[in-house]
Amino acid sequence: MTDLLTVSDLHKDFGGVRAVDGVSFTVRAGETLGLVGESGCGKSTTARLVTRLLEPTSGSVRFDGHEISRYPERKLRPLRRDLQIVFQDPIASLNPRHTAGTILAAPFRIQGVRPPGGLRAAVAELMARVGLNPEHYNRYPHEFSGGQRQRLGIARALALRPKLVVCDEPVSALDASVQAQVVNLLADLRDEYGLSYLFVAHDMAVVRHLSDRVAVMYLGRIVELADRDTLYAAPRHPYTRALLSAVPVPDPALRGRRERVLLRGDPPAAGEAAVGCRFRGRCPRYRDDLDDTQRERCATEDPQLSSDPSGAVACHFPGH
Amino acid sequence: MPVETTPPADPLLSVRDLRVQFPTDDGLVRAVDGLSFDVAPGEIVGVVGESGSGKSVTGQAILGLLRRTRARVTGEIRFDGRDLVTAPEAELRRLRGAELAMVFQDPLSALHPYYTVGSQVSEAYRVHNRVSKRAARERAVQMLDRVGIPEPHRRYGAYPHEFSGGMRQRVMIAMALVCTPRLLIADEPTTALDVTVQAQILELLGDLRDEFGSAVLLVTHDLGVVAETCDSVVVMYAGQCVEQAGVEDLFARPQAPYTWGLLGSMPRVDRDRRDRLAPIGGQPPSLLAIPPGCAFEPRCGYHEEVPESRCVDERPALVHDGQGRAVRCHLTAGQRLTLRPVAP
Repeated sequence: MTDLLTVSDLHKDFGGVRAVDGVSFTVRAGETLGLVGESGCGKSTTARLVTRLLEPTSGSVRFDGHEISRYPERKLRPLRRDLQIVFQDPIASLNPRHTAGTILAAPFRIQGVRPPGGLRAAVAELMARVGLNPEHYNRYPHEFSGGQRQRLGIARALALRPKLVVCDEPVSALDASVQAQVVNLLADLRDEYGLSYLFVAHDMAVVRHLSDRVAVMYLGRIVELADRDTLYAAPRHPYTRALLSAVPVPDPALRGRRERVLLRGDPPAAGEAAVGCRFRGRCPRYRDDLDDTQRERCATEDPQLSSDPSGAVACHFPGH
Repeated sequence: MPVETTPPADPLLSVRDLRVQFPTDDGLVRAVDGLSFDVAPGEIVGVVGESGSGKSVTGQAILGLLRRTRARVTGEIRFDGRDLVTAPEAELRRLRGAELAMVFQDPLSALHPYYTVGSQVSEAYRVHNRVSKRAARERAVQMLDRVGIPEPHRRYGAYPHEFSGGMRQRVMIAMALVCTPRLLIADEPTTALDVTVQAQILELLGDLRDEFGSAVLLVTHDLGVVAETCDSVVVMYAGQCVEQAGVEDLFARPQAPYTWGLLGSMPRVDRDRRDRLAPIGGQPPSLLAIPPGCAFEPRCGYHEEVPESRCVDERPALVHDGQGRAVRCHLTAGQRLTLRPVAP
């Protein structure tokens, strides 16, 4: 598979706060890469950097052969046909004064694309494809339910058949029954159009359901990246293990029988450069399993993401 | 119409035929539409549903928080023998904080930004207990310590904005439990929190129940949270209870098609990955126009199993089996046994 998106050593500072602090990954053509982490880990900032809604402080974003990290808007615009984003909150990302028809026609107009059969037919087809009633093209966003609005956001992103869609928490504002509809829709569209997704979310179960590979972020860094099945069956970074074990499971028979790695404290806010491993303050392995020499290493040496055949992990003493 | 049967018990809280209606310009919104359930002393009861199911309004009605709104509350909310629907406001005020307490989803809007967290916890104690400021302060520090605030003596003087979301929720819980209430209503207490912090807070709620013996009504949209925390469950849809059961029974042998749908909708980390989820089609009904028959019928895949289009015409009653289970569905028990989707 060819690499569609290659991100190298990406940084974004907001007034001295390192929101994204050296992130590297690739998204291959046709694959879905999940990017998972808790609030403040930098996953949404990463989504905005690779779609160039934000300009990186440093680092490289290579999309489909173009180094876009420093592209001016003039050069970005033609690429946006192939690089789209779906947001968490559809009501904030849809113009309340525009009808569904206007919203879905905009990508064609902006890119100067004349669909065969006409704009109206293309919009109707799009609406039908994402499960909206094409007769509702004259409705405004507030006249749709939350799930329908998210379908509208997805339809807009897919209007011009992009190559990569960055999905930033696309289902987390939806109720469970509607969330599953949208998850299935995203999977169907991917298969039908051969799309690639960068799927950004905090929900470990949803990320597993949709992703081929998964990257786990903590405080602006990727701490683990592996194939889906490897990551969920045998997480190696202590943070990934804690995150997975904290997911509430709808099976009371497992209550008290699952391994629980309880982290103390909250995820710290992103900050300035730190010495050593940034997870060690909450790390159960650092606290319980390591001797003083090992701890010294965690306290002084910043673990880098290092790859081996089973994936990549940024930990001096990972599990196996 | 079949007569609704009453579950047996000697409960702390007993809700019977609760209705909450909001008159609006567009018509009458039936937020809660004939809800009945019990909470035993020390029990953790989950009220689970999607947005608009009436789960949060139920908690607010129990605490009498809807009294200054246009809402019409009818039915019976019997707490320790007293009916909270008809109780005078003065009596409710005496109960609130002392015997009935509430934790909200968003602690930042429930804590006062101008006062220190410690003073808010000790104030909550002094409202209901004639003690000196010093004694109240000691009690507050003790509670802050108990809910896991590090260095509680020093943090007593901190302001809410200086705390993280998880720490603020701990303060809310400390404030709610400082008078050791007999019933704590927790409305989505972990929804705004990260999953690692949620795990800590849920464990804390369970520990505090064991320690203080407070019953908890846990309002949530998350079946995972219910499975990990609750003793029994009320599943709500469009203002009605569609199923009640002990927690193990509910997940091992769900009875209502809506519950089947909710479980099928969830991607899970504890099972093999499926290629497709099994969502419920359509949207929940508008509360202005709840279908006259079964509220779930337009989205239910099983209504053709019931003869004479009863699901469309006739609202099913919530039928109790006498062993703590109840279900609102026209399917027969035998049909539910054969039709229930096999867990993936």
